[in-house]
Amino acid sequence: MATALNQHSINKRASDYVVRLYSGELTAKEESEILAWCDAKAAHQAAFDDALLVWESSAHIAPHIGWRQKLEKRFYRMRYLAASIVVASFCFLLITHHNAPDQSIDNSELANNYSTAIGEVSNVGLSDGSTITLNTDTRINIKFSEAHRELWLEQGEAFFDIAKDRSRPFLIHTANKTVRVVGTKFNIKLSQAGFDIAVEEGTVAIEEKAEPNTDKPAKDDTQVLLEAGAVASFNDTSALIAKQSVDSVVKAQSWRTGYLRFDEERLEKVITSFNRYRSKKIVISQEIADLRISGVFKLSDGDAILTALEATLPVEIKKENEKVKLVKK
Amino acid sequence: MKVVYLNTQSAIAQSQSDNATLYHLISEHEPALRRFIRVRARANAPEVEDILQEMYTKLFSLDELAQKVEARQDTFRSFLFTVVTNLIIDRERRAKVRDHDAHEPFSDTLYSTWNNEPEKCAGIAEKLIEIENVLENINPHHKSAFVLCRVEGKAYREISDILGVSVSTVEKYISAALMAIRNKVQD
Repeated sequence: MATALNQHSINKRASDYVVRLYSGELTAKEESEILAWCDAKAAHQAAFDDALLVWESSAHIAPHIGWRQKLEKRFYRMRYLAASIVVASFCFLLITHHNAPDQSIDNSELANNYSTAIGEVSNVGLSDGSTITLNTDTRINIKFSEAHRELWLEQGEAFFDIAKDRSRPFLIHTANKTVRVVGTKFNIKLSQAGFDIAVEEGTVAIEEKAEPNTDKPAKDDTQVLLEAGAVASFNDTSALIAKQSVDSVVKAQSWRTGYLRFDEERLEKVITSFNRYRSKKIVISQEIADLRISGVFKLSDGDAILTALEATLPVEIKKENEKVKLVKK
Repeated sequence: MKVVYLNTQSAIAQSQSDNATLYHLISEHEPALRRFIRVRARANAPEVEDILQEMYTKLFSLDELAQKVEARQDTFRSFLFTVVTNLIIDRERRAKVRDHDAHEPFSDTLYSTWNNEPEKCAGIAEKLIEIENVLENINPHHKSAFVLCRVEGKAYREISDILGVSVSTVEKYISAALMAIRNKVQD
């Protein structure tokens, strides 16, 4: 009896190890644990080999029709249950955490909308482990299904930190292009004609937007691949691609931390950047547009930028009802 | 789409970039594959490199690998593991390193599946029917997990989504099924 029990526990451990091995995600610790266990006793190695044998040969079982039907029936029940739970918890989230930053949501079959107001920067954590950071005045729409993770960037700018999932590509749709990734970090900013993209990590593919309701890419199947450090600008018909260092790509996304950073930048461009975060816009006169400015500015500080400008540049501020005017002193 | 490259961003031809992307896709799994080979084949460092090299040769000798990868993107990782497993089994057969005395019963007949030796097919079919019988009689959760994994080729994470249980529970189910088969089908 004792030996039978012993054999049982050896077999159980061998099975567990084989299942871990084929997870493809064995850790270094597990690796040495398994090797040591197999080396410890001939019976261990034999049990491990047997379990491997059963595992590897079972790939040849023909999918049994009866099984398939029963299994599928089960799945649908499960899925129905899962979907109801998702709906229930999502409603709960909506009620309790509406627009709260860093909210985490489960969204297997649901479409979700997120948006930020002017001046707001917000994180959205997704059920797959991805994080999307929305910049000011941005609107996105998310839908996850079994085959795809899809997101529509409808307005604004967002930084994407996409969790790796080879089996479910992440598709980001803009008006006329689709960005396809598996796991990477990058920024997309919609522009008048298309969008700008900067890749911080990994590789992204940009293709023509697929026809609605089909899996097939559009007829122009040119795919542009961008690697880390690439900065590119896309419009309807063309792409402009430049390679920069990853470092400069990271710096360009300083908005995510709530700061804007400029290095000898033209005042006009600095003000344009700031205006995206302001409801009360700054207007500058043309004669000071070419002044240069460097520095790090906190986005939430409101008028701190104005004080800083007045202190460092030969400019004067005139506050009006609807806007703030910046003129030469 | 008209594409303009401003500086050094590689303007490689599409076919080359296909292969490069493919290589990139595969090499991402290299660390996991190395570890797998070390444990599965008890291989030392040079043998691991040999097997990986064989894997690349094998993969790039397949016609239209890119399309194949695209088609089975959902199971790409397990596809790589299957290719490597088969390479290891081939090597083992060639080198005859296995200890035949220890587990004669079910090994030789089953391993020959990959070589399609007709005279052995009957024996294999018999064993597979035995496995199916065992599966009919075990806990249905264990069976579902095992069939999804080994027959449908799904990843543990996908199975966890389908069955609505955690990945570690999926692993427990599969292991229980594996052990049940092992116990009933041996000898």
